[in-house]
Amino acid sequence: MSKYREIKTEFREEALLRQALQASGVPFEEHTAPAHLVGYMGDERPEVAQFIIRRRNLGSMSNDLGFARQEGGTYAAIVSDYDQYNRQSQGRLARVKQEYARAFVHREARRRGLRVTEQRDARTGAVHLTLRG
Amino acid sequence: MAGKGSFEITIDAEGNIAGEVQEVSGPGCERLLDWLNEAGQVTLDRRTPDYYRREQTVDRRQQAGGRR
Repeated sequence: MSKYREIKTEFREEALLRQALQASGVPFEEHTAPAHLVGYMGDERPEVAQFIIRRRNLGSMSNDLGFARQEGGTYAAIVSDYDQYNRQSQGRLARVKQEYARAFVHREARRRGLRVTEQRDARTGAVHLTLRG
Repeated sequence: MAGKGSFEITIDAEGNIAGEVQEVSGPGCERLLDWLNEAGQVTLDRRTPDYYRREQTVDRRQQAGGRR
């Protein structure tokens, strides 16, 4: 090893976000025109998003989890204050982010003609990928 | 990039990425991880001790060759 880099993953590409949501295995909605999120009491919240995981798929005390398009085409996760500390919502968001990163690495490996071997660490939940030419 | 070393990538449970270049030493590896930058914000970027160790080996060989 001679070079090491760490990246905080961001949702920068819509196609990869869609792929990540599909891979994470939870039902989600995709809206061309952004739709309102719904709170845990069934109340419509002011926040809107193009991709939404409804609260019924997160847990009874959860609010909807949204991904809203920002200027420039990136996406921001819309998480309520309560869900910042909600294990189910945070776990779901982390899984989507991990799947996004996986999809990104696999796509870039294909573009560069690299072979990928992948292993998941059952203890930590991390995914290890080796890319070779 | 095929044939120029390999990459070890770890994606932790929070979705953050750590990447390493292997089997390539010295300045040649400097930009080989740049493609990862498109995934998000770079929070750490460093050369490892191996980078410098292999560079010194190359320098010694060059010096030995120059004395002949």
